[in-house]
Amino acid sequence: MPIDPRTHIAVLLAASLFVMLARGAVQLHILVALSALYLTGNRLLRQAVYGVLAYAAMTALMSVAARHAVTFGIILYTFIRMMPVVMIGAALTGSAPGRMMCALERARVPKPLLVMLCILFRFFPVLLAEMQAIRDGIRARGIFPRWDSALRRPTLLYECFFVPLVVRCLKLSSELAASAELRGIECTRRRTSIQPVGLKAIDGLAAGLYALLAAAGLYATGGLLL
Amino acid sequence: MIALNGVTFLYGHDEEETGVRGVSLSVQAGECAVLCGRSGCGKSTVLRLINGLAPSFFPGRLTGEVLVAGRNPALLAPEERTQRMGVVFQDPRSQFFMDHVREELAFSAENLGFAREDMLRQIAAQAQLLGIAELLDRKLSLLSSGQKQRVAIAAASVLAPPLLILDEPTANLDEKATQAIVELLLRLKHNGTTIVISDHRLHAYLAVADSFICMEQGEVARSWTREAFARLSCADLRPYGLRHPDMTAAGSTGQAASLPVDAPAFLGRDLAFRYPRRGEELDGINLALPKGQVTALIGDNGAGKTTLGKMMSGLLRQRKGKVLDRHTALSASRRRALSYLVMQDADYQLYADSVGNELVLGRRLDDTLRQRAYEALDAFGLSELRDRHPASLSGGEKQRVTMAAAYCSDAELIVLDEPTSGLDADGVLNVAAWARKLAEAGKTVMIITHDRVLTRLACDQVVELKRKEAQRL
Amino acid sequence: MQASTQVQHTEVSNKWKMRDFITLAIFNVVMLIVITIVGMIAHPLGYLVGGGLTALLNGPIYMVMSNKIGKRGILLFSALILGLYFVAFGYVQYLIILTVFGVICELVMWGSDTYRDPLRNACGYGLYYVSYSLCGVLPLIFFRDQYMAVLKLSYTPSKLENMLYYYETPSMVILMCICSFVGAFAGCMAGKALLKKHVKKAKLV
Repeated sequence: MPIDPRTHIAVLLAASLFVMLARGAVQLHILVALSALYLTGNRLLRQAVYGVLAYAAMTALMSVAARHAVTFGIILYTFIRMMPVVMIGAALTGSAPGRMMCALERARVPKPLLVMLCILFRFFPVLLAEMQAIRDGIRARGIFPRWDSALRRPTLLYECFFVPLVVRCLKLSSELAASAELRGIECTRRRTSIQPVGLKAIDGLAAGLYALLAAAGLYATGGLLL
Repeated sequence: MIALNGVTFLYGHDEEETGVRGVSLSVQAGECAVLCGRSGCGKSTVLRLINGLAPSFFPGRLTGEVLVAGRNPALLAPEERTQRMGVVFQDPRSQFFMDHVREELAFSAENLGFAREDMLRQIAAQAQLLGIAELLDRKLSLLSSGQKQRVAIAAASVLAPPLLILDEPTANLDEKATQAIVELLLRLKHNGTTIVISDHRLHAYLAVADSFICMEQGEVARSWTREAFARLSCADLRPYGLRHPDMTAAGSTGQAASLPVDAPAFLGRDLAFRYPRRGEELDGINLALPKGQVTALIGDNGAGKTTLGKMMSGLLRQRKGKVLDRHTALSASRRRALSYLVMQDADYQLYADSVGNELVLGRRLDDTLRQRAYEALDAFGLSELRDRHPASLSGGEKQRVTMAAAYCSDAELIVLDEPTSGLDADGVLNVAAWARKLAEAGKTVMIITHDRVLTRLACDQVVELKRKEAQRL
Repeated sequence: MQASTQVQHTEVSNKWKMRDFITLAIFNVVMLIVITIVGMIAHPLGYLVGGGLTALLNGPIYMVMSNKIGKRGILLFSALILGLYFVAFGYVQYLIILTVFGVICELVMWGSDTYRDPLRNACGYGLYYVSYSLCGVLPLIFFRDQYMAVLKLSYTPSKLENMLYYYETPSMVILMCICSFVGAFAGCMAGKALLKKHVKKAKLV
């Protein structure tokens, strides 16, 4: 019963709304629980467990840290508020990019935006790895031998990151664009996907259920801040 | 199938006239042609002309006629072009759009709007044909380079195009993986696909190629049939700058005599390392790198050569074991201070705005350093390129700059990671010569490579790294 | 056989091609990575300087991107991408603010070939980062009650008031915006120098 990516997006937006309306710890707990439920329903049990554990850890940490470090407490609280939405986001990143592109095209999203989203998803870890490789390269050349050499010449350090990064990004963009063109990205026919794409009853059910449970939960535990 | 008639293509506008001139060649349907030549001879330009990227994607002036199956490739609609030809590039990093193998194979078909059942069927059939059926559900980032290239070829051929174009597909692969690729190409050729390849390692393709076309400075210099090419000796190929398995340097290779037991050396004792996610493991490694000599580290892709290189040069901290300089143990940071690792892709290690500045980067410029820099510029043939920006140089020239910088540095241990991938014959011979030069300057050199020619030409001793259990390819 | 001459002219138009979008995406991913890293370290301690620091670091990268693409719409699309990124964390309102400011930035960049002009770029980019900073302030302004309710459980009100002083008083907010603008401006000027020294010299763009 794979749920359409468009439903994930709708639930994500709904979750954002509910988090904005939530006040008090209990209401956030409910939202996190619902997110975990949603993830489990989508067969993403591992992400659900990680999310709940991270949330629990941060909440516990905050009650301890809040006494001693106010700013740290504020930081933690911001992350805690993000958790319900981030967990729903995990459902989105967990689904295949190709499927998402097809689904979004049906929602009339323009093709350039589809391609950009695909690249955002796929190349975030790739570019992160590139930056780490650049860092390795700098260390391998021994330009900053002592721990404080880098602090003394920050402009050189920036330049050592900037030049390879720009060269790689320009090369990557050019090669990707050539590859995309040769693989038919400019074709005007409607996209298809090897995964099933389409809004079915289950989508409406899942979204509706989420909204209902969230609203009910918040209402029951302190009212909606409206 | 392919016909180029008197084609001249010049990139960009007026100042720099690089490109190809008066090229005429033809490839019959169902044949396999291999383009060869020195770096910068125009092989890639010819491929771009064939797949239509020149002039539409790479602006320039084109005269002459380019025909692929009777049509001009630059004028084809996207659907037509995608269905008529598949293209495989050198670097898997920049040609994959998806996370998983199956989706990557489906990408072209999805772009063209094929029906779902047709796509699934076609993917299964192609995977079966190319022997990658067991990889279909794997994540692309976890595959080896050889597997990635096979997936790339499968993705380019999933729509069964009559023409397949490959630009240096085996540049980063070892012998075994190269064999696997050639195997794949044979299967595709039996199915009737026309194949055009551009590469430096030519003898690997003898099994599948029908003709070898050699280019020089933008023009077609010679062409040979497969049989004729196979009979050519190393000396015949030298003037064209082509690689040959029997390459030797002009003079003697100067192998050092066997060393006494307690000679100065960098020793690795019982080294172990494990990447937490990928599960690759090194265990119980013992290694001796004699000072002032060149050691080759060979082994299959994925056996851990780069990891070991990074450990010896201090970029990675070992989980167990020690690295010693004679008898003193060296910490990772100490190792980093006295070693210099030249990465496979020179783009990651060039930072300055001129070659001269690159050699002395980050150090105080006194007379000894200046002297060394001039020496290095001469020794590595970089004197004319002194004021050029490193990023504007060719791949081989960039490689030279990083090695010259190693020469200038105070590092005692120099590790070269795959220095000859993508280089032509001159490049390989030069790398061998410079590795020896570095050793003669008293540095300890370790070369990580799967290039047997380089091993034979440059190295005094060879260390082979074998994987404990063989992984399924 | 008659040789047919095919001559190609390079077009200088404001029409975006797929390769421009791909370039935009790749460079924005890099900038997003920097924003995320700096955001995690500086937040919310460096509310004042966080935006400015990010703008300074990303400035040269932005300059290369805008010189490469050189077409109208770069800032608007970048704003959209950043906004969508924040939606994934639950901040839908950021998308709205960023889009509005994106349009304003485009108005600032009105004219032909302005994306290759360093001064104009600096202004447009500066405004872009002002909007980024304003986004950062919003949760604390709008959800002050919720934050206070939870944190009141553990701290003294006076301590809290002191902390939140920065994020609410208009003068502080204005100061933050100025910091961001200055950081972005400096980033663009540094970018102009780096562009000349490296990118133009190596003819990469």
